[in-house]
Amino acid sequence: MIIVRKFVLNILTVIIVGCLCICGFTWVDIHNLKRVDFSLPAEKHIVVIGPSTSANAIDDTKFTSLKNMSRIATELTAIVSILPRVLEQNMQIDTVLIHHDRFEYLYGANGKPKLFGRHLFFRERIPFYFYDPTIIYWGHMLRNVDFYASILNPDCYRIFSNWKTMDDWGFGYYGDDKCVLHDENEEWSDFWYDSAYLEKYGTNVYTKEWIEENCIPTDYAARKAIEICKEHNVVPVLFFTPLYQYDRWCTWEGYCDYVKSYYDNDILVADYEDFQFPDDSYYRDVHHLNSKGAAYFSEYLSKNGIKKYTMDEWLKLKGF
Amino acid sequence: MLFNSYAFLFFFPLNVLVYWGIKYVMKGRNTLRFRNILLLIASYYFYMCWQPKYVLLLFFSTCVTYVSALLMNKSTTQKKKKLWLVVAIVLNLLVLFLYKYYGFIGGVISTLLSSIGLLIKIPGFDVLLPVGISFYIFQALGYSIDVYRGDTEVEKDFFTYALFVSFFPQLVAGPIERSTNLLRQFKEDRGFDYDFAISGFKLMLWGYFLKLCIADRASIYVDAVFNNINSHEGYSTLIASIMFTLQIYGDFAGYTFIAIGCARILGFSLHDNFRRPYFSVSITDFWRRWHISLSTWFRDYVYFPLGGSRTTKGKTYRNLLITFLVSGIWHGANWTFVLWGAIHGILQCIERILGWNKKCWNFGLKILHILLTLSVVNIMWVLFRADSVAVAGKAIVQMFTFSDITLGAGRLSLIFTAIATMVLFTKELMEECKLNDAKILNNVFVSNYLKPIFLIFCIGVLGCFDGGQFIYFQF
Repeated sequence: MIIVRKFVLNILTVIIVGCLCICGFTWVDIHNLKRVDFSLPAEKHIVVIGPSTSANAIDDTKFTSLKNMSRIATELTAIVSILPRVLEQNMQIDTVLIHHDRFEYLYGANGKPKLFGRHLFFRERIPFYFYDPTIIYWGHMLRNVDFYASILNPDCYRIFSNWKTMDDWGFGYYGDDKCVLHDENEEWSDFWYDSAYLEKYGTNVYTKEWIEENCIPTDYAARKAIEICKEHNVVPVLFFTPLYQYDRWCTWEGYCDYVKSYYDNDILVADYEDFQFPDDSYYRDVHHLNSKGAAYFSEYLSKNGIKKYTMDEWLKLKGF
Repeated sequence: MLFNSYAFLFFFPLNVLVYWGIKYVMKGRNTLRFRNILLLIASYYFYMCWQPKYVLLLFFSTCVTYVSALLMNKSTTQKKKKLWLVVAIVLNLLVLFLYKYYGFIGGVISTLLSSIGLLIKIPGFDVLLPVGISFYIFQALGYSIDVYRGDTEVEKDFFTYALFVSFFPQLVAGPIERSTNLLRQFKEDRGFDYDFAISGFKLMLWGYFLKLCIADRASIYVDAVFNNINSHEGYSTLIASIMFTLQIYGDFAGYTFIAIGCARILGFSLHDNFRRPYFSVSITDFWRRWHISLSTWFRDYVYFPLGGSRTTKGKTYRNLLITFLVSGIWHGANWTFVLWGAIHGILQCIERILGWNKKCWNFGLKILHILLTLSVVNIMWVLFRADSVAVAGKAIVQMFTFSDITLGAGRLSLIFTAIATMVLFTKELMEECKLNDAKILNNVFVSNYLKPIFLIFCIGVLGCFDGGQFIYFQF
């Protein structure tokens, strides 16, 4: 029995010391991250924040005044925590376009709420530094044991790097030349969402209750971004980028119902979800534009300006 | 249940504590059989975590080989003995055929018939491939053949035999154990051996390092390229093939080391399955170092019965080709595996003709041969990874069509894999040059504390925790 105890002690010692080494290494790396510079050129006074949808849709080389600060494979949460620093370092910013389409709401579809944030640490390795702990939906994360391992893994912090700017960290326009719209498997198409939702709820109309149940963190991030903008006297605008055959996804009913109860009337909305392209070659896939689509759409915005509605006007436009 | 799942982090320590706890708490009593039954229950639970219904196949294979061995033992004539062996082989291979090869063979027959104008649709048998089916069926068949040959005694205790077939550390991806080694260990009541258990713990850590830091890391880049081969060219395909060479070794050897380590902590000794295969000087040498338990299985139960090399040269080549064709088919129901096995067989025949299989090279030539063998093995792995022969062909052509390097999103993973590979290379080079016997490396503090802490650190820093499946589960 004494030998067994000795064995267990040996193993525990090794594991504890090993984990302490990892934690120390991680701590040093976080310290390094605090030196990231968020300053933008003086002429950039409009910024776009959001996930891959807006990262792919806005080619900011077509604008003189706009900077795309979206990031692929993340939700708004990855930038909201640093938004105050971005606004403080760039006093010229007067408008923030907060990408907020229904796609983000539908992330938790298929009857299974997405384990929020998990894949961000696993796959995208966005440093914790870029997250606001009050936004991260801890309830979901703490129930998922995988989460602890991802925290332990300093890979999340992009070790061995000494990246100093937002671009280094992948925030910005993400041009993709591909057009794989019709090559995608069913799982990534709209059928995945619709059929799964239909099976579980017996309807393809996403309700306010369903959105509330499944989309809390993303939505909380959007509202927090609005709050930060107001604190810094910056105009927040809910921004919807073009979506392929958007009307096949779901109806507006549940979404508008939800927006009405959670957003103030003074919020502006720029809705380009039904923006029409000459043909399908402007899309990368059902969710994203490719670089050709981004150039076309960005040139249109640059030439015609960004059309904004008040919340009331927008809801009326949608038939509510 | 996967070794790299969090469930296993609870499952395994619990098993160890219960297994050894019972022995020491109930001192003076013979608890061996009871502990074996507990291990058997744990093994079945381990397997059922994947698909509970497929445990019936495991049970079926166990029962068939158990009963046939008993009947062989009772048989008075050689003819009857042979009959029971054939029954065991046919029933087991039938299960393997139905679950693994039916769809493939059906497809081939349909294609052949349609080429002569007969449009006959072979009815489908669309089921999931049971994990590890080839491993446990081959282990059970090995036992039947050993009993038939008189190499091992028949096991009369069903629980002990069932544990031999289903012992969880090596159940789903080997090493394929022989009854002469593992079965007898279940009947010996041994005490806890501290040094043996510590060596097991270190092997487990090394296995996790190979899996999480090399295999799962490399897979990010490999999958990105091979899942969309048309969007990649030149260097990126070449890098992906090198990454896959690392991935498959890290994945399979990683599993094996974890399995051997687990078994050691429970007091059992399993056979080695890998001996630094990428330091091989020839393809023949490669098969002496890669998946040793399978190579020796095929050697003992296929190659030797065919006549082995103690026959004419022509027949030796034929035997080699047949053995490696069967080995290819064992790996999967796809033409890529058939071709992969066939080419390995042909290359070994060529080496025999050139006399490379027996030559001792000097240092310079040895390095050259290691690089040559590694390059050939690397190209052959493309066949292993590709979904079809066409994709493999395209990938191999692309590998030699040089272009700009586009590392894409997998750049960071490539750097991490390279760092982990340096650790692997240093360790294996030291073993190959027998430098690991140095006194300082075998000091208790260095060996039992520093090395494992370093590995845990590497796993934490370089590891990929996506919970990727082990490649060899599908075989």
